[in-house]
Amino acid sequence: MYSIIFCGVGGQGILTLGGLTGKAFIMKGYEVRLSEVHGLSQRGGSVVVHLRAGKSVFSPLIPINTADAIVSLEAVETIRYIDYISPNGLILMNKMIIPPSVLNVSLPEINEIISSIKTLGLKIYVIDGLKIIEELKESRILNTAMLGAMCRLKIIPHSLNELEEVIREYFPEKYIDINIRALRKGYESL
Amino acid sequence: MKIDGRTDLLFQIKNIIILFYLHYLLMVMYELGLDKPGYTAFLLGNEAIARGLIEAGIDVAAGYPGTPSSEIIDSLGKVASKFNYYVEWSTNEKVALEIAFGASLCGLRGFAAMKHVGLNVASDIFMSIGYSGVKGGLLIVSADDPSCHSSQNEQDNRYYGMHGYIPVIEPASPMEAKQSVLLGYDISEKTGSAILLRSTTRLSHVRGNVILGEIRPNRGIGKFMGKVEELVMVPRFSQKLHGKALERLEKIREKFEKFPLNKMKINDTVYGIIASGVAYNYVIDFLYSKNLLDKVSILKLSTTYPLPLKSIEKFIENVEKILVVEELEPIIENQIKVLLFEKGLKKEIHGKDLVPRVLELTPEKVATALSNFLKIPLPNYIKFSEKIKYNIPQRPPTFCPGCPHRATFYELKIAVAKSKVKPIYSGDIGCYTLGFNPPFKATHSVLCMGASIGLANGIAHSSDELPIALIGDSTFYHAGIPGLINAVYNNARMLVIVMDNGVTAMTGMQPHPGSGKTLMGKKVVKILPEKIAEAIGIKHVSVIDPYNVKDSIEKIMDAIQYVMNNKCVGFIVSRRLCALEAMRLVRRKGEKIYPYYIDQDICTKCMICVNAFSCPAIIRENNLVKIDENLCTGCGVCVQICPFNAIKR
Repeated sequence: MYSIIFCGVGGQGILTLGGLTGKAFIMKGYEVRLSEVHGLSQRGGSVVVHLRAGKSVFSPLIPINTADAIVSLEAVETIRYIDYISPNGLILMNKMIIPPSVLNVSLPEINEIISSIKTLGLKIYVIDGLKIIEELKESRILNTAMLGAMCRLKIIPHSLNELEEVIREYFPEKYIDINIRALRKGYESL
Repeated sequence: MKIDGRTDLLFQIKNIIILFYLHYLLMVMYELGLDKPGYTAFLLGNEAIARGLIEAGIDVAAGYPGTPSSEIIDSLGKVASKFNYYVEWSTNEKVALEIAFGASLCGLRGFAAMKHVGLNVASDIFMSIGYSGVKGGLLIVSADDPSCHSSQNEQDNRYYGMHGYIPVIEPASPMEAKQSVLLGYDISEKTGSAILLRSTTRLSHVRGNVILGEIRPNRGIGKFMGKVEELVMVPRFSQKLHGKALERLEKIREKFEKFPLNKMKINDTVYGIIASGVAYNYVIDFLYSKNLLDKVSILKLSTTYPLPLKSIEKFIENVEKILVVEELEPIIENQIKVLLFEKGLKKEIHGKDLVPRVLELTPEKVATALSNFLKIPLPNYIKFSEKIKYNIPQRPPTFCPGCPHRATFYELKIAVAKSKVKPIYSGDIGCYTLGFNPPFKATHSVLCMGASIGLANGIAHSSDELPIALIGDSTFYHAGIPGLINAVYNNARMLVIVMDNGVTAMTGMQPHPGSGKTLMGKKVVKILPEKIAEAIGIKHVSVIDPYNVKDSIEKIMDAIQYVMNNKCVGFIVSRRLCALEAMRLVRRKGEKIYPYYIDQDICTKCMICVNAFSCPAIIRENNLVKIDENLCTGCGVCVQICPFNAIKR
């Protein structure tokens, strides 16, 4: 059984990343449940997606302390959902903080977040999404880069080739090449 | 703190929003309409329901958007050109259900989708359908929202099934949702009853494996086959129909005894668990994780009304202690308690004493309930979050950059201040509900669709207050018009502002009677709120463009003055296309967006644009106020509110 939490801020492409990962599991013959968030919460709000994949899956939600991994596209959101992680789980986090739209809030620094996670005794891997975006001169590939990193860390049981196949199936023709390059970049970045 | 590369980052966020919509659309269109039996698709619960409808050969489908139900009709709309059904967004849920029923009376398969509170609106016809029965199959989806993720309450619509004598099916997964649609139509046509399919957020918005089946052709042109004695609800007919409805339920109960999605597993044990819908999943996962699957007997119920009592009796005879696990209300629990009483069975039964009745269930809540029931140690969780020393800010939803509602609220507040009045802001359901938040705080109530105007009527007749009803365009067509006619007829003083952004924005840009097009893409004449207002005799009707600040403030002040002087209804339409939709059109046409910037030599940091307007594109960075050029939509409203003319292009 694989249990993965995806989180970030509405609009970052978290549903697409979850959908892509779920589709990858289906192509490998797994049963999948992907719990999404729609409606009000999508307007710049906090977004969390639960993915469970296995031989047979029932609950669409991951119980607290049982996620194998948290894949986070935004650092503050990692902390919001930290209770889902299993003590043996690992965190893959994009090195990025998006300030909320509310006035006068204090935010932790990125290094403070990373060190606080380490203090909890949890494994954390940080990916510099902005750097990959700059290198590829394409801003919309953060989620496929994260998928590459997930592959490298063996958060999912797929090979790079299998993931490329999913991208070919899932994406419109003109976005396939750039997303495959992002996938590989994400893989190599760790 | 300083945030490196924030501009790039926001640029990227904005673009991903667009890409996401694109992907989502392509994937849905691709898998939903595939004629490939045996193929495993990855569908959202709502898409699985839509696929079930396609496989069932649906003829006529209608609905009104509302989270978590909207994607059912949205999906049917997206692939409509591939199939031969008729699908529409109706003005409200009552009309939608009447349309579906009309199809059924013509011998066709009719379908209506709505969120749980939508069934309140449709309840009048729903109750009559319970009496009349149906001809062609009729399926109604109620998507309930435990935890009120996007709703005003968490009502349990299984009660409606009991209330209206309409059977209730509760699937547990996307695959079961599709199967339930097919089974539902079969039972509907064999018994002559409508079927209520109850979904919840954790079914409608869960994606899972759905094995596609064959697509049944639809029936083509129907012929009206309704009978007067079943459709004219005068006493001599309806008195008889009441008894017939109860007889029909007993037939359905028999069918439900053999319903393929109900499952019973009896083990040699005193413990029996009965679970329905999504809750069943949490039960199974917990028992599996504790290696207890063989230590309890389990009855999975997908038909919660009328209950298959023979199966339940058989199950109960084999156990001593029963726990009923269901989301929200004790619907199954109470029916089983009646059964135990009637049969004189002495069993220990638990339900809402162990399983919470408020908010949606989670694996943790069910784990606790089961542990208490089975007398095993309670689960012990490590709370990492409690060891985090800093605070995590909330991210409440806000008006988008360029949102016309923000401009309208700003202008309204200025006009009210200048007019020296203290209105009661009677709000309504939609994106503009967010006007209750700072800095505007211009919404005193948000209760149900159309209540803005209805409530204003009552306040006008009961006090010296000035009610201002704030209602969206889609909500106006849905339930605002009767209240407005009432206000004119009974002369209730109020200012009504229709915040017209051209689409049903909150639920995903669905078209409505003012949009000029239908779900199936047909161009139609726009039905304009101001024409309706004029036609019913409102003397003061004006239309403002919220992007024109000075003119809007003046016209709102004029309208307030008119209402105060004449003690009757004043009517304003604030019209500007939803900014998200406008931006999408701009990109589709390949046009450029021209953002503004703040001239730092002129800016005095008076903070009016930040504190009184609060556009997410206006940011503070290193003690300066700046415009994020990648978020700015170029609406130009902030330019007009800056007292020092510091905002430029």
